[in-house]
Amino acid sequence: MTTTSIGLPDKALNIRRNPRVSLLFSDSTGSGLVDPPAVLVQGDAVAPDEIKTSIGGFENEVILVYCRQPAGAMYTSNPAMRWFSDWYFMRLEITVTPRRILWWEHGDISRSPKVVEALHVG
Amino acid sequence: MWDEVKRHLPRFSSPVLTGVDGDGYPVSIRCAPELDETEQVLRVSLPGWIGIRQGPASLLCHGHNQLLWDLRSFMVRGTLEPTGGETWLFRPTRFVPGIGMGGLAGMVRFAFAKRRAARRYLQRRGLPRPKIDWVQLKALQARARQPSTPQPPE
Repeated sequence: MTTTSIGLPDKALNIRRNPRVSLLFSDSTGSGLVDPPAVLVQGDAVAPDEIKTSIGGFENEVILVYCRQPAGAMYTSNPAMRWFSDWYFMRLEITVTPRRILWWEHGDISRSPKVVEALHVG
Repeated sequence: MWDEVKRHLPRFSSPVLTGVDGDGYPVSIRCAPELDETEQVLRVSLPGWIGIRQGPASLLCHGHNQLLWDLRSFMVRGTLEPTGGETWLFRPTRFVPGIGMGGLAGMVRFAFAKRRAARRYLQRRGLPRPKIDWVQLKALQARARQPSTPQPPE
């Protein structure tokens, strides 16, 4: 599951037209991971037209975001910044059901990936 | 448009090329595009196993520092054409600036544009502008600053 802001709704609008998506995890900068694989997930996504502003249930993930990106707190630091950036916190949920997962050990995409077909998911 | 591609692309060592595979799913891979000034196209080497097809494609350049800050990004829309072997032509059609382009003024323009986009999204659905629970967010930020909370890597 991921989200996007209604100020940046293209992901959601595109998914409503064509649910086929891919997610590439290939840059571990700032993640804390050491020598991770590169991973490509292809799947089918849904993006309901329901705007979420509550953190409910994702407190730990939000805390992790602020740990990893401490400067992000500037967007809530004073009333002017909160007016300026409230759109960022109006989110649309996107849920992806994987259909195929490809990964490259050590992120070495010069080699053929390992592939898992996710035929019985969702 | 080509001038913008030429100016900004060299700042990124491995942009992400996305096209469509034989099953109709997007497929993305990091690549090292080479500028072809004469044709105003990019040449990219793609492995055969990727199964990418001729057609619409995009090139995403995105980066940040270890604290997920100093964000910078742009995307180039275009089309992908085979030339035989593993070399493909990416023909740019549109430069789409992202975050971190154009300094502080660019950042302000970006935020105002997204604020307007959010307003349009709400107006088209007849929805009022939702209120954000800032108190809750500030509380979570305070928890993130506590020493016991796992800190990001050095």
